[in-house]
Amino acid sequence: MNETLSRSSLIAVVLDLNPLAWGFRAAQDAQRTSKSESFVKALDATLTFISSYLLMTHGNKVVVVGAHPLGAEILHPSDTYSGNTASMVNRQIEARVNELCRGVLLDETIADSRTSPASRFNNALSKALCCINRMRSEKDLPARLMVMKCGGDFLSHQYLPLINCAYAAEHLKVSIDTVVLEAETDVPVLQQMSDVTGGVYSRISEPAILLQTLLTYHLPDDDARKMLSKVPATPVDSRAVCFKTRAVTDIGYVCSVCLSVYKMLTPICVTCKSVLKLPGMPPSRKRKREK
Amino acid sequence: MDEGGDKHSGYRWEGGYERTWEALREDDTGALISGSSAAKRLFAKKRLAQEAGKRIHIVRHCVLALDLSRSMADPDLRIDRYPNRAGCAIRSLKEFVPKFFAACPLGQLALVILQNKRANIVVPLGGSEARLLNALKDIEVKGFKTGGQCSMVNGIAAAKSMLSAVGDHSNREIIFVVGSLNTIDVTSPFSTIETVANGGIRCSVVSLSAEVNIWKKLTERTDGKYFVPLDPIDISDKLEELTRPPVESSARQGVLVKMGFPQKETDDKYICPQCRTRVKAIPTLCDVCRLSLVSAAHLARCYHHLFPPSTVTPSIPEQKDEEIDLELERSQFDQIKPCVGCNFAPSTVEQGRQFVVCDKCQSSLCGDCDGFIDDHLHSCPGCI
Repeated sequence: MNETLSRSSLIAVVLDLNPLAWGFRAAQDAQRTSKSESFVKALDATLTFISSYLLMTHGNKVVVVGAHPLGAEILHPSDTYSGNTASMVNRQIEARVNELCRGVLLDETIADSRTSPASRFNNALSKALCCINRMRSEKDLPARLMVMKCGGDFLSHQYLPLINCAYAAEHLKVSIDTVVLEAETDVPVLQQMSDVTGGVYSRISEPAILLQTLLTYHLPDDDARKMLSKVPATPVDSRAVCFKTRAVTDIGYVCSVCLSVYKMLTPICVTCKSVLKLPGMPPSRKRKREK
Repeated sequence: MDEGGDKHSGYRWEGGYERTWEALREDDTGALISGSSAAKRLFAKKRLAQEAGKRIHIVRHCVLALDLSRSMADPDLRIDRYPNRAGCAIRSLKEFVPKFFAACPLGQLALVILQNKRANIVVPLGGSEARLLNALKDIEVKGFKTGGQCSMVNGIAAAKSMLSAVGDHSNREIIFVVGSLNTIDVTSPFSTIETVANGGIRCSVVSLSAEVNIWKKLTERTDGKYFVPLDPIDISDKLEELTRPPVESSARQGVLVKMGFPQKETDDKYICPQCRTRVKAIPTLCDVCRLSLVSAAHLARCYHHLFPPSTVTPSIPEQKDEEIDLELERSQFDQIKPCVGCNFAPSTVEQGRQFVVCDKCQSSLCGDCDGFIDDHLHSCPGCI
């Protein structure tokens, strides 16, 4: 058999274990349709995806990282069990997820309004990339990353580390696939991450199509994807956010000292406190800006 | 060559013995742990510590001046399918260009060829990575044609003509990659060096043959760096050093630069937010309205220069050679927790030596993850 066809590979899956987001989504779905997406169903779909991946080629490996609002945990491989049989991996992940979710739900700090209720994907992704980096140093494997997020919050507090992760992944030649379980809004940072690394971004609005999407779009590896028909692309929103007003802007002014973005001209940079020389501009443009 | 830019360190043969072999260590299986990787990490850490808290030039306009005179046809440097000095220089420049744009997405590069005592502007200043790579590939396809002699004054004149149009907010640089041992000029090179220095243009030189006094003078006078690489791989390393944004020596006034953040359409095209022109790739200048187009991700990628990763301390501190306290080492080893990044726990003391503790969040990191964080991830998984 062809060497490239039988080559085993590695996938790191980052799972959203945020009880608030899952609960919110279930409530939303129940309102909209009779069917509701429970966490159990989504976990089932993910486990099926992982099993299918392990069964694709002998020697395929999987790393599963759970992200929750308090941090991130490596669910598989762990010290107690690190085998590769699909059923055993599934059983272990399920047990660990149960254990972790219970811990998160019982923790009272999660209800504290000061902490952000979003799962810490930056933490989870850097752990996943560290794992890939380590496993790569032992044996050179083609690797990918898959991120599954529930809910449409923008993760704006985690923007910087997430983009750093994306470029680190690009360096490792790891593509990042992202799946967002959300009916209405896209998550720009995840879109950008997939865009930078050449992965696939998909937003799942209907609960029933999660498994189908995972198996058709996300299961084939990078080589196989070239031969398959293209995944319907969505426009990627890569606009910057003004540092002063937090408004999204498509034409902005960037401080040459610290690269802060401003929607309007400002005499002093709020980040680096340096006094800025304003660019000379023809009068016609000035009028445009005042609108 | 003297690495730290110390101008008075003298020649290599005047120095004492460097016990390079002592850096080698044996691991438990008997394989050698190369000291070079450890030394590299140490060097990177030192650099990060030096840069911390200093203002750096993020916006850079840089002219690459490549010597393609007769001397570059010398086959003393060669690797793979690159038969001579010119080939090795092109190979390294092809690595340099993407790294430069990765480190400074707002920077611009130009390419000047020094040949037949002239300087030809092959690629004018611009933010397009593809254009430069195509130009370099073109030289490769044509078989690394070299000829004539190299002229420093003409090279500087060509570069200056482009850089003079750039505003004061940017760091203006010329990077020479030369193999020639002489320079044929119409005017005095010394007066040219003075004008460059007064113009605030930083010149760095990578010399593929030997250290040449006039080039060294140029770099010293303009606050640049001078390198003489040892082998083809070393050229890439030295050029990589030049991709890092230089530390600002005197505080300059910042300016606001107008920039566009185009959205990516479904057919892999970008649309300029100002004039609605379609652009193939970013970062670049819009062909119609000359607005620089970047994505928010490009900007975010720069911020790690401003927010370096937290410092670390080794889990098992180095002991003086005379009295190694094995008991102490053992107890320190037992306290090492599994790595916060990859969950790896050390099984031997030798592995434990690679472990470090993050000063900020006190979490344990293995050597692999620590290096990965410094080079690419830029933030500790325990801190964020």
